[in-house]
Amino acid sequence: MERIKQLKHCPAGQGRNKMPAWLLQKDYYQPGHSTENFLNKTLLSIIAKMIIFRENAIGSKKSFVSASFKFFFVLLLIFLISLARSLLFLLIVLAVVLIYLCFLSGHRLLAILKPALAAALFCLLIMLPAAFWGMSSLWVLPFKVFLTTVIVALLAYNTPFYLLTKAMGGMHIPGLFIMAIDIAVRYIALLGNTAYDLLIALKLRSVGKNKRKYQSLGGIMGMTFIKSQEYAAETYNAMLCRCFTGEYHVAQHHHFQKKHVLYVLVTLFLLIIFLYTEGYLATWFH
Amino acid sequence: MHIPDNYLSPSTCGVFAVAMLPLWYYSIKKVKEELPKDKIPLIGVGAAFSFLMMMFNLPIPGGTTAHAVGGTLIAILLGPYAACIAISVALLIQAVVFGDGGLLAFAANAFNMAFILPFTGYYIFRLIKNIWPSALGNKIAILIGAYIGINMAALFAAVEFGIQPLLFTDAAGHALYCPYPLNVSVPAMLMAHLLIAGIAEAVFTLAIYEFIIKVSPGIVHNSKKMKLNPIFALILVLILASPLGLLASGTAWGEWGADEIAADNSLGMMLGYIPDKMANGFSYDALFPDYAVSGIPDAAGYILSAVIGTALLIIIFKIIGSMLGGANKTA
Repeated sequence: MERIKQLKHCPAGQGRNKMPAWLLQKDYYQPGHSTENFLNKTLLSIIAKMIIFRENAIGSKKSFVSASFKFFFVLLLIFLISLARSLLFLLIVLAVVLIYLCFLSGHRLLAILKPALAAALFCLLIMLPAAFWGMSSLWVLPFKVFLTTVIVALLAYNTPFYLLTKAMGGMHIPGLFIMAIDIAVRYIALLGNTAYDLLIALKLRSVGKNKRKYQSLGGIMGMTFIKSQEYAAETYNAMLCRCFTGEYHVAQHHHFQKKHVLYVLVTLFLLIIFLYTEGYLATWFH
Repeated sequence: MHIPDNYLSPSTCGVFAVAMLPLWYYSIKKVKEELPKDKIPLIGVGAAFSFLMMMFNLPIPGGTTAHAVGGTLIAILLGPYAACIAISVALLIQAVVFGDGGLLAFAANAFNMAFILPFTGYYIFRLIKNIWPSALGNKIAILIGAYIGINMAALFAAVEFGIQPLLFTDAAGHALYCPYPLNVSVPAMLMAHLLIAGIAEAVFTLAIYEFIIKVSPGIVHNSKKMKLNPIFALILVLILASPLGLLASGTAWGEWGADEIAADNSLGMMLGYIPDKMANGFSYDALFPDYAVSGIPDAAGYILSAVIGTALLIIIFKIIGSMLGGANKTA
């Protein structure tokens, strides 16, 4: 208290003289231009995309159409799209998909259409040499790729992943295969998160120009890999503790429900459209 | 009113492209400033309406057809700048995907239908509404605005057609592009639009406007509720009804293919030749030429085209809306 009173009685300016001169100078520090665009644009954006997977894993509202039917229907649709020789069938599928897309929000649309367009473009690039041999239907394959990618993306956005693995289990797909997909999807998100945190930490700690940033990148990726090993071992053990035997056995309760009739009708309708547009039903109609 | 390729010379098209670029730029700027972000997807709905209305071809005495555009409707609902963008995108999709209206002539078509039409219609609507501020006055203003708007656009299209034979002919005196001079093109275009398409446009505009005000007043007045489901239902009805546009079997005046034009007798006799550039000019194969798909009946192809065109427009503007909205949130 005495000290404070003394200070208060000090004439103005006396205390300030004791401050070192460099403290009073204004600081005009401008960090040098650091070459981190590469880091921001590539790794961070890729990893941010991975994290989207996790949002997906969380369940959404219960939908009217069961996940098993959606899964089956998408597989059938992809199969028919690949088989289709006439443009008409593809156009009808396109029209239905576009109507469905109309009801999604803008952000979702972008998230679905961007990868699909990129896939189609990539396919077109691969097909481009065929143009030199005068192949006229050059863009049919990219069109098919676009359609199938959009359909799969729609399925992924619509259905929580755990329901899809359940559906796969119900279809007697080998357990090892399902487990690989299941764990991969979960871990892409988890490891993405880990790597993202590490990268952000590196960015925050590199004040000004850090020329060794790229040397640390190897460390980050290595760290992520080690973490992945730890996570995997822990998860597998945890699953074993919970009586996981490697089988995705789904208890099949096949109670007849009214909506099953609808499923059959929709599937039949799709098949009829396919057969009609491919010309197999032409003999019946004439 | 969709001017096909090779009816206008490339230089004419260039002039309109130069005219449209600043208009588009300014419209986008105005829409960004004035329209709330959540209404940008509505431009797509407007474009979808316009797209569908242009599919309803109406028969005109004399064997040709014409159609409404719906530009005044969008201009009254969302403002003329939004209408300019909406119709331009609808025209672009028509040109690229459906081969309706030329690719080179796109800027000229946009000038007539996306600039002259909504702006004329909108300002006439505003003028009459100010002079006669009542419910009836509002209705009359919409009718007259839409009627004059589309006729003004038709007049501009006719003038664009009509100056071609004056400017571009070959050594034999045969026109290189559109062969009909002003004294043929202006009466032909205006007759169709004054008698049939203009009335259709006015009635369509008023009917759809009243429907929208009734079910979803929020689209026009910011504070009120905005409901899209009834509007999507209306779009669905229009899509299902679109094959009615096939009943009018003729080709619209000034939209003939190269093989049709030689037999046309707008001059009072058969033209008798195919203008040089139409026979060997720029050609582009659309995905669905004339809204038809090979392998299915015309009506089914028409519906398929309507669905794909409408959905494309709605999706494009939803994405644009979310991109603008996202940019604003981070800024």
